[in-house]
Amino acid sequence: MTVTAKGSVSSRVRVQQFGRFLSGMVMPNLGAFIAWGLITALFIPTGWIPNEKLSSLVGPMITYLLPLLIGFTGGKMIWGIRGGVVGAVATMGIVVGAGIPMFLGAMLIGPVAGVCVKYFDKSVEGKVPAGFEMLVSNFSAGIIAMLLALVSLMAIQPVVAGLMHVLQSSVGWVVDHRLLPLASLFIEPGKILFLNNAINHGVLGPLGVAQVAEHGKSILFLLEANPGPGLGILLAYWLFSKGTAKASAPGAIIIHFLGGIHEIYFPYVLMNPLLILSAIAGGMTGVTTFMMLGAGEVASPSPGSIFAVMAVAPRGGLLPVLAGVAAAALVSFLVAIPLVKRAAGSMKEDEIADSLSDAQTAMNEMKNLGKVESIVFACDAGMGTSAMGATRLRKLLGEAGLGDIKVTHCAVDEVPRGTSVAICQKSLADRVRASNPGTKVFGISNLVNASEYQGIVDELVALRRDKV
Amino acid sequence: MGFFEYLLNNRTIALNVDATDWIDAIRKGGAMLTDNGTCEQKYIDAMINGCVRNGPYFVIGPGIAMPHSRPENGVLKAGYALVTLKSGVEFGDGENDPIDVLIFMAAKDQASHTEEAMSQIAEFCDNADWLLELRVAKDANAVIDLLKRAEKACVSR
Repeated sequence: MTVTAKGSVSSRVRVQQFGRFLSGMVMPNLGAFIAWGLITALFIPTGWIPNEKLSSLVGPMITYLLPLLIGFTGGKMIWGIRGGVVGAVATMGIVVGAGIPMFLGAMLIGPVAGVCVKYFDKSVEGKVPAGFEMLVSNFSAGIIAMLLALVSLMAIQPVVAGLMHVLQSSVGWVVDHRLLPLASLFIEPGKILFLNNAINHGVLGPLGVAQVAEHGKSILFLLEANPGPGLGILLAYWLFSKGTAKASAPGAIIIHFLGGIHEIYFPYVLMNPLLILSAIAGGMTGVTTFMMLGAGEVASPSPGSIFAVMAVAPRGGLLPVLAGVAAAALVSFLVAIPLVKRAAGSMKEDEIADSLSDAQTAMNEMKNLGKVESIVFACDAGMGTSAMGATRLRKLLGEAGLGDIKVTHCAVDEVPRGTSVAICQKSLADRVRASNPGTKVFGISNLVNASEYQGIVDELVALRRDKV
Repeated sequence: MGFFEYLLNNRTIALNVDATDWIDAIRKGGAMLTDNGTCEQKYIDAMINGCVRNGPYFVIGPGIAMPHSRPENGVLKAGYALVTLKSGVEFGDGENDPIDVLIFMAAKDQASHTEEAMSQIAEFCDNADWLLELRVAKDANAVIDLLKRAEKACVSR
C-alpha cells in the first residue's frame, strides 16, 4: 500500500471547500427552516389559518432555534459535538445581543467556537493529570463557551446597529435621487441579514404611505415585498441542484411564493452566497419593470406572498405588478442557474473527493497505527466470536513478530475508550464506529479463516516497518 | 467441556434439516438446546432479535453461522448444537450467504472453557475437508466419527 504525498491545495479547491463548508452548516437544518416556514405561513395573523397560540412558535423559532442550530452545526463541523455545543452557546450571545434573527452571525461564530475549543484541546493534549480529564473537558468547554457568548453579546450590537444605519441611509439616498433600481443593491443583502424590517419601517414605509396619500399608490411597497427574486432562486435549486437542497426546494417555493414567508429562501442563499447576485439582478429587473409600467401598491403587502401582492394592487394596476414579479423571477432564475449548477457539480466532485480524502485519511490514520499497542476484538456479548477472533489474532501476531501487541476481547458496548484498533464481524462495525469515533475499526466477514486476520496483521507489520 | 466433547456426549446434532428461511432454521436447530435444558425459549428468540437489530452478526464464514446471544437472555448452562440444512438459507450476508451449517452456542460466562470451545469451532470451520465431510454426511454416525477425528486433530495442534 503506497501512501500518496499530500499535494498543495489550489485556490479553486479552497473556494470549493469554503462553499461546501457553508452549505454543510445550513443543509442539515433545512428541515427546521421548512417547519418554521410552514408554521409561519399558516398561523401568523396574516397567514392562511391564523391562530394566536400556534403562531407563538414563530418568533422564538426564528430568533433562537434556527440560528442556534446553524451555530451548533458550524461548531460540530470543526470539532464534533463538543465544538457544536460551544458553538451553540456562543451563538446565543450573538442572537440575544442583536435582537434580530442572526443567521449570518451564527454562521460566523459557530465555526469560530469550534476552532477555539479545538485549539484548546490540542494544546492540553497529554498534559492533563490522570483522573482530571472529565473535569478539564467540561470546564474548559464551559469557560470557552461563556467567554465567546459574552464577547459576541457585547460586540454584535454595535455591528448590527451600524449595518442598519448604513443600509437605511443608503436606501434613503437612493430613493431621494430617484435611482430606485439601485435600491436592490442594499435591500436584497439587507433582507438576508434580516434588516429588511429596519429598511421598511425606517425608510420605505413612511415614504410609501406619504406617496399613497398623494398619488393613490406607491412603488416603494414593492421594493422589498416582491416575491420574484426569491422564487427565481428556489426554482433554480429545484431544477438544477441535488440532494436535500433540491428536494426541499418545492416546499420552500410554496412557503415563499404562496405563503409570503421570504425568510425561507435566505438559507438557500447563505449556502451559496454568490446567489445574492441573482437576488439583486432579479430585484433590479423587477423595480425597473415597475417603474416603466408605473406600478404601485396601495398598501404594504404583508406577508409578501403573491396573493397579498395582488390583493393590494390598485384598481387597474394588477398587470404591471404581476409583470414586475414575473420579470424579477425570470432574471433571478437565469442568473441563479449557472451558480446552482456549479455548486451541484462540485457536490458530485465532492463525492469523489470525499471518497478520495476518506481513503487518504484512512491511510494517514494507518500511519499512526504504527504505534498500536493493543487491539480489541468486539462482539455482541463479548465472549463468543470475540474470544474466537482474539485467540486467532494473538497467534498470528505472535507468528509475525508483533507479539507485544495486546489482544483483548469485549462486548461492542464496552470497547475501552482510547482503543486505537478494534476488529469485529462486519455487521457490528457501524455500531463500534458510532460509539468509538477515534478508533480504527476493521469489520471482517470470515472469522474462522486466517486470511482476513492475516491481512490486518500484514498491514500492522508494514506500518511498524515504515514508521522506523 | 469442549465443543466436540459436548456434541459427542449430548448428540445435539441434526442433519439435512428442512428450513424455509433463516428464522425457521434458527428455531428448528435451537429446539435441540431448549429440549435438553441448555437454554430457555427466549434465548432462541434473542438470537433472532439480535440478527434483526444488528444484521447477521453471527455469520462467521462462507455458509457458516454461529447463532448465539448474550448469557442473560436465557442461558441455563453451556451447550452447543450442530445443524446442517438440506438447502442453504439467506441470512443477509452478501459474502457468506447462503448458510447451510449452523453451530448453535450457549455460553454462561467468559470462562476459559468457552474460549477453548471457540477455538475448536474456529479450527473445525477453517478446515475445508471437514466441512465437506459434514455437508455430505448421510447420517449422524458419519458426523460423530468426523467429530472424533477432528477432536483428536485439534488436541494435537
